Amino acid sequence: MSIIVDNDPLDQVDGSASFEFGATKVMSSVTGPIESARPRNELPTKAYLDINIRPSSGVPSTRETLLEHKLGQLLPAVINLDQYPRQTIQIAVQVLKNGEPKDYTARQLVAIINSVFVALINSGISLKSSFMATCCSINTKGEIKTSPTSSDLANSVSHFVVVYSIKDQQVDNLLFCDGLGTFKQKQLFDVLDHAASEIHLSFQHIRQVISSHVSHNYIWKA
Amino acid sequence: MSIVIPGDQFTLETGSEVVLGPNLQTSDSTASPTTAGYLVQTQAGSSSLAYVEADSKRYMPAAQDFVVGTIVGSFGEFYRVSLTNFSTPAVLGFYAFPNASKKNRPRLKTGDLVYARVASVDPDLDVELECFDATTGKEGGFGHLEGGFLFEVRLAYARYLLRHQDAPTPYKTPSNV
Amino acid sequence: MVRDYDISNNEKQFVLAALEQNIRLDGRKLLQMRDVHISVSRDEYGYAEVSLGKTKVACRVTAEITKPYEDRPFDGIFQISTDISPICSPFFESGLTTGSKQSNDEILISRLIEKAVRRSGALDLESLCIIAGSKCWAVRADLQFLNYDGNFIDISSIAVMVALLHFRKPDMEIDGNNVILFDEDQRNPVPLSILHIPLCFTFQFYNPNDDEENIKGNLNNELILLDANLLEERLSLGSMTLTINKNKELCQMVKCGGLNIDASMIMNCCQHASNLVDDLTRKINDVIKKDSELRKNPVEKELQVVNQRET
Repeated sequence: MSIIVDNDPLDQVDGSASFEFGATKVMSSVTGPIESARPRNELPTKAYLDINIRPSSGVPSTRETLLEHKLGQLLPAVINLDQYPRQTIQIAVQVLKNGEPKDYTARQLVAIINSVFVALINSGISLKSSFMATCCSINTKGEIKTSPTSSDLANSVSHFVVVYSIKDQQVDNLLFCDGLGTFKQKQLFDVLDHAASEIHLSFQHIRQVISSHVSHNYIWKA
Repeated sequence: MSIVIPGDQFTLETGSEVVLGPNLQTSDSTASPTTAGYLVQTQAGSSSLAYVEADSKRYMPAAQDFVVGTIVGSFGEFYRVSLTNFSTPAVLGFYAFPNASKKNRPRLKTGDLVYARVASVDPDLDVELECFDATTGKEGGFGHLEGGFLFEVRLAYARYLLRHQDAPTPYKTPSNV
Repeated sequence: MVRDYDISNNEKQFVLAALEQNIRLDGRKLLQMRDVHISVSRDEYGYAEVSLGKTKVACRVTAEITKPYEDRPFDGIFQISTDISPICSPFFESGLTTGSKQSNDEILISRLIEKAVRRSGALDLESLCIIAGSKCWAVRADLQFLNYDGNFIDISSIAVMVALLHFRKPDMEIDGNNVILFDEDQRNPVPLSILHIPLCFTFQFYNPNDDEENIKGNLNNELILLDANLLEERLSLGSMTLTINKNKELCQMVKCGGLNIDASMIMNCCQHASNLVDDLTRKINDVIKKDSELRKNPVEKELQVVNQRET
């Protein structure tokens, strides 16, 4: 799987990144901590996450709301929200290329999570750990395929999005797992193993991109 | 200096006192960064110091920082001062100026620029600014800035300019905005 | 509460003082546009990315077959969506997740684009009709605002027009009441029928002295800028958008309040816009022509790929 990450392409937001793998491309931005626009969004002990996802074409629908909800489940586990009481952290995502059939969201969710991670790093918001997502599909023969293409997904019986945290360059905790379709317990465990080794390989590249961006920002240190 | 990212673990030296700087979190005797940046570990007297030097665009106020802010309004006996666009404004008391009294205090208008010092920071309270030198109570160069232009720079560059006397800029302005 | 940029008096005075001496912060002349950069997608139809300095907008055009509106059985449907996401700047709030209303700036931008492109009849709606009263094409243009550095209006009009020109809809045949659509491999897809290319030019007005002077009308030394950046746009005392095509037809002129401007100065603006529109139209057509040449011959395309691999 070839990954292309563009680090901090936008300059009005605090952190941004685009993530492209195969036919899917997503641009994410993070702004915060900023003043809450509405008093009812102020949480007394932690930051409020304002997540906003836009599809590549058409107006946002329940499909985007579902993706927003999934992202909203994952992020509190990795951001130190309690460091920013009463503030808002605004996360805006624009899907640029779907890269999968209309009824699927797996590839987009992976690209969203990974681009948001790089954008969060760029924004300087306090994180508990690094994390990365990948997706797998199981076809009719029971074979597991990591990073399935559009046609792999269309011919699969089930597909999964898996997110692991990364500690000391090693895959650590399972943060999020979302499966759709029919599968057996053993298959699920196999999928988790496959995903972990896939993430272990791909994260090297993400780390490389982040490091080169940091050294670019401190160009006078060279 | 090495570049670290969240999740990287390193053990803190036990025995001596360790002072943790910005962008680090600890559990037991291991520390890990909260964002990506350069890990700095130095000795300062008897204690050792560890922090992560990281760049970002949004300024997070820290006590005793020198900042340039824009007056965006006033309430009660305070001005509201914006340090970064869209962040929660800081407050600057009407009497937080040298020799200020009820009759004699600077009259600042909305949109005026002030050079100030961050007096106190508490995540649950408003950030407070002051326009006098903390040790002497005298002017110390703070106050209303007139003329000129405000340049926005990244925070890492602002810190670099503040720390290096020989920084390659034609005209040095302390700016955290 | 509406968020806004906090711009200091120092910045304001500096910019205005510089403008009085015919200098802009980025080194442009007062009536000079930033460089327009247009790129279109190589592997799909109807996708364009346009940047004007740091301002960046993408536009995607899609089409599907639906039932026409009852009162317009002979017309197709054309929609432009211009929701501004906070991805381009926290200044634009997300209206959909928080349930708030759009800001005034946002509504103004949407309406201007709508009028400039849709109401000026840039797209021939009658050609989108398939079977009167029962089937027609519904074309939609989705604007994606990616980065804000002023002048969303002008760049949006360019992006929509480039994406429309770049778009191809599948070829089809009508068999009684059935419509047969052809794949890209079976028959070459057909372009939309574009009647003209309306382009927007937004002028900003300033008065370095005092805006009261304008009301009295004694001295009129207002300054006029074209293609303002973020700071200039936030400091402007009034703006005017002209929509014009290369036939020198003025499709729209909008000035919502702000400084009073002399009619002769408005005429000068029109003159200036009509000088610029030729260049910009040529630039757009060049991009489209280059793209269609690359796609013209599938065999050629294959060969190109082989060549690239060899070198």
